[in-house]
Amino acid sequence: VRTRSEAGAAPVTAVGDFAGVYERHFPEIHRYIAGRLGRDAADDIAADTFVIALRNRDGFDASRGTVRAWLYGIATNLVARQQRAERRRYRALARVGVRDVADGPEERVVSWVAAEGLQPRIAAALARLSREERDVLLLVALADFSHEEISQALGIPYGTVGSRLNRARKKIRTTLGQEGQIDE
Amino acid sequence: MNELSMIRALLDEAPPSEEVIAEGRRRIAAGGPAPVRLHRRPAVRAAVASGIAAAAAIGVALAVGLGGAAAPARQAGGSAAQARLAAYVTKRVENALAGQNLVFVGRSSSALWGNTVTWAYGSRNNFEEFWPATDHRDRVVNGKRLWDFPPQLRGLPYLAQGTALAGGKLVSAYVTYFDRRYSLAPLGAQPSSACSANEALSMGGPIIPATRWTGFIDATLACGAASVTGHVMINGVETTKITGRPVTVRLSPGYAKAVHERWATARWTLYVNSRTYLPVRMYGSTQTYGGSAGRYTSSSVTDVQWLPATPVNVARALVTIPPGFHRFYGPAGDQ
Repeated sequence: VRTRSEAGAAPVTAVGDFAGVYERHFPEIHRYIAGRLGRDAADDIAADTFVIALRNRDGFDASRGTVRAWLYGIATNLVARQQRAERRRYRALARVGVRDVADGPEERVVSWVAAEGLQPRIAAALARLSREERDVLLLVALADFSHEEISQALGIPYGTVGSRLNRARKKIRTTLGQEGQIDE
Repeated sequence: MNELSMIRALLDEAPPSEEVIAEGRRRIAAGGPAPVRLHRRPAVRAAVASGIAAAAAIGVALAVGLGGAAAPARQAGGSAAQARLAAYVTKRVENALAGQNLVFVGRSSSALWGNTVTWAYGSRNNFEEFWPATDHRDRVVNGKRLWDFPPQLRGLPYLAQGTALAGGKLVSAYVTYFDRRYSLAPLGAQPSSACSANEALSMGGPIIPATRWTGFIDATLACGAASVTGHVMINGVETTKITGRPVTVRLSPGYAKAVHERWATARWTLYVNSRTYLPVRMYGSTQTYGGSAGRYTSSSVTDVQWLPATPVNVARALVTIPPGFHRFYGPAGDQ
């Protein structure tokens, strides 16, 4: 089984290679954008991400990070242009009721969040984060990125990733009023 | 349980559909976000005063695709083996047609289009479309039925388009029965490339291309727009299954607004006689989705017969202008 990091390390040297990059990464990039902006917006912006990547593929430098991090960086920049839409999405999530869930580990989390009535507060807290904090936090939460990968994707120092992430998580916990009760 | 898990649970979305992934591929192939503009087929059903649905109109427009701006051509992807296969198939079809002097008859049924019959012989062709025999009120948007027409029209001819003889010359003809009008025009340019998105869209409806099978099969296999995917028995005849690659397009703003959808995907599968390579059956479908109307698929099945070229059968391959119809002056079908 190909791991994420192996797939992400593939070089982009030709359009032919790029087709493979697209097939490997489009679904997860789409999912990341959909998490931040919703599925409708993700249809366009995910495609834009790859069009931009294709046009700028000569600028990709494998020594500075993986293809995966590069793509997430482009996607995050595109999402950043939609800050108002993103905030609207979080406010909407804060208002709507519990999403339908089925059995499954992730769904159990949803149930737990819903049961505790935390969903509106999480959404509201996300809306209040700065863009920089949200970028870092959501690359961890939605893309399972390491500090190193976030540093590559956003082009910011490793230490900055850590400080932004700590700040973001602290704000979320404070909003939830659950500091000290959350498992690490 | 930590806040990252909660965020993931709150924001997690399902993976993108195959159609969305395919559209992304198309955009990359086109080199950028250039939406395909689908022109409305002349005299689409939306124009009917009886209030037929816009959804039906788009289905027809997508299915026929005549007069539309050329969609970005599919990138050539065929292998040498596919090209050889295509050449082989082409030869077989040419031999079959040349040796037997046959008239093509394709009959299709569809909840969206109703029934259609296509007759073709040489460069002559006659596509006839009928109102559905039953009222398919199966889709409601904003409380409005999208498939609604007077019951007295059921099963009656709706339109005919193809070729007619005028002054001894073959011309393009278009007849609409609902307003008793027709138009004639010089034969137009050849249809779009068999490998284009436009052609794939046209295959999402009842068979229209009629006599272009040789070139069509040849081109689609050679460029990778279709591939041989198996062998199936149909009515005791062994057929070769040829499946076209699905094509997805973003609807032009006007269409999107009319049908409350954003995307359309067309699919087709052609079954050809494994011995003669003459078409036996075709499935075509067009799905619209991505908007508030809800995902909707219109599909049609066309069964093909090859009849002897008797005078009667050959005559059916020409559009007939009914007596008392008024001529509309303009390009055929441009109403």
